[in-house]
Amino acid sequence: MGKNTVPVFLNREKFNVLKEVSYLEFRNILKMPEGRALYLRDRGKLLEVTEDNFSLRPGQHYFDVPDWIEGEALSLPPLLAEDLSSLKKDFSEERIKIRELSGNEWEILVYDFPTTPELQKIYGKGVLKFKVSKTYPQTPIKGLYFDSPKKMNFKKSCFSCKQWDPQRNGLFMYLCGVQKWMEAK
Amino acid sequence: MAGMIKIVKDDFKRLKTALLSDSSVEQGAVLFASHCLVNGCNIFLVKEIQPIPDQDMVFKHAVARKLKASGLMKLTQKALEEGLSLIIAHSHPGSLSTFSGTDDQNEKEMMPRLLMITDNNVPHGTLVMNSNGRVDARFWGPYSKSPQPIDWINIVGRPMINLPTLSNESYPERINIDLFDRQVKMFGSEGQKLLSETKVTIIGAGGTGSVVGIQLAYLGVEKLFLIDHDIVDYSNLNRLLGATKKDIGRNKIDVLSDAILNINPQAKIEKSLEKISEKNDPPVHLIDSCIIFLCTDNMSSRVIVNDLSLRFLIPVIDVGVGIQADKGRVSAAGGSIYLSVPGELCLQCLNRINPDMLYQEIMAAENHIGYVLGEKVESPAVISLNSTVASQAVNIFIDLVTGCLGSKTDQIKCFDMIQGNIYTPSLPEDFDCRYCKKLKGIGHGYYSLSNIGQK
Repeated sequence: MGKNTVPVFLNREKFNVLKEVSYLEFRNILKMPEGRALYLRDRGKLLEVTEDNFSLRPGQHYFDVPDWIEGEALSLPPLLAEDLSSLKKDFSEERIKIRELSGNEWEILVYDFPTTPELQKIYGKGVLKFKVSKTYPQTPIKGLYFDSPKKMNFKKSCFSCKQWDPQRNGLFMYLCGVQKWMEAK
Repeated sequence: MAGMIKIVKDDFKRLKTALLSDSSVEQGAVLFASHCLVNGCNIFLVKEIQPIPDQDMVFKHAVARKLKASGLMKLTQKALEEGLSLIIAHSHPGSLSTFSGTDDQNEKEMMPRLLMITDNNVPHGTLVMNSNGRVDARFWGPYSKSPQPIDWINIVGRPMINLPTLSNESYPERINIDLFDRQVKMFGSEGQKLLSETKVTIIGAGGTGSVVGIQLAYLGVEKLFLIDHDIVDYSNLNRLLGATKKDIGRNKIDVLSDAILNINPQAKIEKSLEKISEKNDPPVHLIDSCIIFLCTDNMSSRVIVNDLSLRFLIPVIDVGVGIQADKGRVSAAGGSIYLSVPGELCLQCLNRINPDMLYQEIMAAENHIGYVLGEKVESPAVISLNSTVASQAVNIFIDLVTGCLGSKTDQIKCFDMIQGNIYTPSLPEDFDCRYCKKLKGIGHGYYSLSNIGQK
């Protein structure tokens, strides 16, 4: 550190910067990506720093702040969205949950499964989980797992029901197929 | 449980309106909340909801929205100045019920920065609401570098609603309802589940408190916190449910706790012998309660509990009884129940706090001579009156938790023992209350109202 430099902090990291640098040089030295706002925290106040009010002093605390992006951008494939929407109508909203595993894969959770009293006597009311991918319905449903309160759990890495055509029958029919298979089991 | 958001009913309505009023685009709002860490649970007490104005947005589409850094920093400034947590909320009007990959990516970058700017003092969170009003929520920091789930949204109102978030894995878990079959026929298995999960604090384990505690045990309430510093004496045995001669000299809370466990061995009971006082921090087990039964019948405890209720967004059911008798002749006998719900009417609004009596109590306490008009007086007391009034209070509790009576319960109910009437006095008209209206005194958490008043 020389006489001509001042210590400042960016995102709590210390930098020694030449006293005379301009705003743009300062941004370059700190390798601040374009489009980010620069903020100075001074006595509890957050001040946006621009070319007009830039003034370097020792010990200043700066932060670079990008815009805040949020949203459903990675939305479900249309057919899957349609299937889930009708499944929610058939089963009630509370009993169906969707969890995004990645941009390409979702886990569907069906609560209070199975639905018939006879099967509930055997299995109890559990949670059925399975995974669907972005290419649904071309690719098969994977990772079928049933979590039973009566310890009658089962797991199948890939499960396709007889007479279930993913191109024509929706997820509701798939769940009916799973129940039929549970009956026969 | 990792986290819970407590929010009063009107604020939740405002949040829903802000997020769901237009389904063609994603919408946003910000919740400012006090944070407290209690028994390992991060509680966010919502103080204020702010919609995000359009001028602070770069864009908002059907599947994405972008908030300007300057808009974000305006919100951060407020959070920083008031020591509050920011919970940034947006809607998913499409099919996705929970956080998207975009949300994950954004938070991974932004949340550590937000925590850094606000000195890592309090955690900050995010919330997403789908088109059906279902919610998912999570928070970051200050002690963890990865997001932690918020499991419950506790909507404080009549009825009280405990909304599980979409990432709450334990929902909908089932309980054994056989034992409670007859009451499940009244308020449903969901109502029974709510009762078993609702944590209740009972302050005062005496004549009314013991009746309340035992009725809650029969109802299947499993989480209880009992507070009383008193011990059982011979003169208590005429009305202290569960107490016998063998219990003389024992702590009242231990006697009540044993009686509750005899009825419901599943119950998880926490106890405290400490006096609740404005000088001490409130017991932590009280802060994560969903409802407080105040069964002490003195003004100073009402003042303190009213303050705690508003700070930590906990409804209070205040139960009081009284008999005026002289040589076997009863001139007045009865009781009253006051239901105070943060965001609606507090005990002060309901005129439950009488300043003259409070002054007399304080003066008497300073002179160490009891609390009734400066004279040590043993008031008359009878179990039938206590039980009648306590039962009414428990009815109000059932409605508050399950909503099975239509949530139309009056906030004041009185019982006249001589006439045999239960009646509802009209509510006081002047609601311009110093505590909960003028100071916007709700959800301050550990900041006491008196501190806020001095600002």
